[in-house]
Amino acid sequence: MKLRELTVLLWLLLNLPCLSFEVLLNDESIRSWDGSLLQYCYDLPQGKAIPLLEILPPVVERDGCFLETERGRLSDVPMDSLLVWEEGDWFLHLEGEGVKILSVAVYGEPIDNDYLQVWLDWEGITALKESIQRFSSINGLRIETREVPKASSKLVSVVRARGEVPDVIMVQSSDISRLVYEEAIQSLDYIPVQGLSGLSSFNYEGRSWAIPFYFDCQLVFYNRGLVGEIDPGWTLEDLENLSKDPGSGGAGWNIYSAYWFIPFQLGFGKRDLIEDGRVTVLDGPTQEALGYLVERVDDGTFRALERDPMVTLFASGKVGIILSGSYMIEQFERIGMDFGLAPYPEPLRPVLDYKGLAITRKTRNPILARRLIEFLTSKYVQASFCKASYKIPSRREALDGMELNFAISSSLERGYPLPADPLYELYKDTMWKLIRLAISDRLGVREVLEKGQKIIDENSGGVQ
Amino acid sequence: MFTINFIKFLKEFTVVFLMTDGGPPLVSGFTKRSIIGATTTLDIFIYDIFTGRSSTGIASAYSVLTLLLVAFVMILWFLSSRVELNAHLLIILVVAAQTTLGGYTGLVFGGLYLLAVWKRGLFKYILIGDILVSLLLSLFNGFLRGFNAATIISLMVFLILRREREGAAVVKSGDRALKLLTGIVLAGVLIASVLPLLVLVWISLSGLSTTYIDSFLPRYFTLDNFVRVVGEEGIISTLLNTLFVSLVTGLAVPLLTFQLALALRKIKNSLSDIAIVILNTVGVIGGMHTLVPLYSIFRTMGMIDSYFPVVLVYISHAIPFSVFTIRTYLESVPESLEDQAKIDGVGPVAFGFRILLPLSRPVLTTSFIVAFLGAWNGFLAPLLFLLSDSKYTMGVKLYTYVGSLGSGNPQWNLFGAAATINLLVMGVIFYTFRGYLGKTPLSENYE
Repeated sequence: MKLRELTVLLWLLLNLPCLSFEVLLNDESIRSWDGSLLQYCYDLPQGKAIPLLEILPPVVERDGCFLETERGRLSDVPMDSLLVWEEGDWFLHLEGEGVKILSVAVYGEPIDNDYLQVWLDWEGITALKESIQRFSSINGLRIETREVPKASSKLVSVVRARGEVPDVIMVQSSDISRLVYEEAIQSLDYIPVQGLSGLSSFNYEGRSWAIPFYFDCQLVFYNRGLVGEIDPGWTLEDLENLSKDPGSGGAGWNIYSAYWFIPFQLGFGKRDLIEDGRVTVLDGPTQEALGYLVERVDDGTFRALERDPMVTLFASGKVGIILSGSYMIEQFERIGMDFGLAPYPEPLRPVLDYKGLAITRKTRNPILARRLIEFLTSKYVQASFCKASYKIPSRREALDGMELNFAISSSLERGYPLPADPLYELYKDTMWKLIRLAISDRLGVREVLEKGQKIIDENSGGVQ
Repeated sequence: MFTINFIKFLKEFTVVFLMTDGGPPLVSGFTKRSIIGATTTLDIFIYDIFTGRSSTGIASAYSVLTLLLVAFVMILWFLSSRVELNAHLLIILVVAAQTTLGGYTGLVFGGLYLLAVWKRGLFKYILIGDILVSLLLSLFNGFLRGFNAATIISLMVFLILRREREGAAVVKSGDRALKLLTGIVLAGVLIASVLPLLVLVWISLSGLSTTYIDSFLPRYFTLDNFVRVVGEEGIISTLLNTLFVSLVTGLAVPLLTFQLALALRKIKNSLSDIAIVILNTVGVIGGMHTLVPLYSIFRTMGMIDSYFPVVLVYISHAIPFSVFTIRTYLESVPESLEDQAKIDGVGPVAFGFRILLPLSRPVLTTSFIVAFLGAWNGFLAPLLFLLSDSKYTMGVKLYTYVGSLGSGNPQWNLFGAAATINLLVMGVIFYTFRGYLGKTPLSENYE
């Protein structure tokens, strides 16, 4: 072997240990990370990087975390500090400086059960499975993810039949009251939620029952070719004027739906859907809002369109402005449509529809379940997942790393998170029928709300 | 067949619920607790109450009333299928239906129908009055408040008594009016069958997730949906799962029910019909309400997340129809054949399996196909009993694309692609076995 080759080989042998760092748990080495950690890294401005939190082994309670670096031992390192791959080695970026990492030591009681079962529902399941797989692979865990349609209903059936429940389940706010009543999920007051939005969506009877994960918000979509650009600070009157313009294609949406009516109720002065434990539809704001919409539909300013015709007519350029959810962005982008996004016009308040992660009451692994949720709601995981699935992260910090449209960030500021109160379902199920009767002019606004209020009051007592 | 289909569609829930969610509300639909819509069937109404309440009392009460209605219809069928009609019993059935289901109007007409027990000629006039009152009350108070459900029973009894009196109508084979009517009905059925298929194919070829069709071809035409469902969504393995479940169900049902039908064939008196009535009535009770206790049982046996409970549920659903069909077929076998077999020294068991079983191939195939298709289209049982998404069948998989009505972001285009593939497979299977349907070795031109 030539001298040069020998020298390289010797150098490699001497330096190889330095190309990796060890992860120790209670002074015992459990893992070594070298370039293989790159597959889990994010593409950040600093380069290929991963936050410290994501490589720490999950423990029951972390008693201490120390990093051995070239400059000595570091403690109290912020968990969102980045480990960056530079020049074939790992560097901890702290206060703008990078220092080479030699080892990471964690102290705490290890979790003895490495298995979790997670039920997923709604959209973005593929991206979510990938995120969970990351957590599983990095920590050598066995996490089984299952796509379960109507997951909350199935959980109720399984709980009633005393079957095997998952550890973590994805829920929406309207599921909470039923799951609490069936004793299917546990309160999560003990999980820190600083920096997360949408907490009220999973707050029921004064306790938190799920951690917000992502949300969809209501937005205005407009055809740039027909409407031009919309001033983000526009008003309801501007919407009317645009809609009346013959060249704009008009504005249309599912006016019949209670879900799309809420912004108008709130915009006309209603403070909250459920006040003092009661749903009131026979109030001034609701009457004004419904009356307003009836008049606008009658005079042709707005068009009442069900979801599918609305989407088709918008995509084909026959309707210029629609109200829809942020989940439609991907679809319109996929077909290559030239559309713009605008926040809801003042004074309307868009609805924010949150999905969260709950831990079941009968979980076999509550600690690991909590760690998984903390992982999934961390900044970079949230940003990565939401970018891939066109969702909006509940962690506000994650928004910084995303090129968020002003319409969405504005919606977050003044949006109305759907409540977890079961009265909301009662409101929704009753309201759409009342709206339809009023919009079709089969009953007057006052009359329909009077009858609807009686039904709501009658049923409120029996709602669980 | 009318009775069985009536009961089957009386308790139809899934299609009506998923497609219409109770339908647009009716002005006359305001009740104390809800607003009834144009397509709010009894099962949807019960479901609305059941899901919204912590107490199940009201839902149970409506369920009992539904059961009563079904029981009346089944008893009606049983009585009307006798060789000699017992008109008095039929009229008493009407009286019972009126007094239990008819409300205040029913109490009045129940008393009047009682007179018809002694003077049968009055029945027709009382029925006319019953129908007129129903119509008037519907007109003034709204259909839901005014209509008397027991009037249906009265009308059915009238038609049965009339048929017995006047005999079956003889229709000339060359009747042009009948041919025209047949043609119109067939055309309507054809259009109603083909149109949804065309819509399905259209949405499967659209890049946009929508069911609103405003052009001959989708504006954003693409085959990507098929590529996605096959490549990314694993639809082929889902089809294989469904095929397995359906095949096992399809094979098991005729095997299990043939023997029961054989035994019922031997029973010459009304016990055979009573057995059919019981099977069908029990079938009505089944459904969502029994799935939770079944889950508990299978969980104890360690069979959750396996196909066994799914197949068992489908078999139990298919049994009533299969027993009825096979028994009816076996009754058409001439007695002389059995006599001949006896002369040749063939015992009853051997006759059943060596002679009747081969002769029953067409009806067994029909039973297989019906059970197979029922299992293929099933949704609730695999949703509840299967936990691994790798084991899901087509019903559940299709549901994952669209969810329930009102879901904000259904993927109609992927649903269309998956459903089109599903229908193609079902079509091939049905085409393969079509030759056995409706044919019998006992007919002259059987090949």
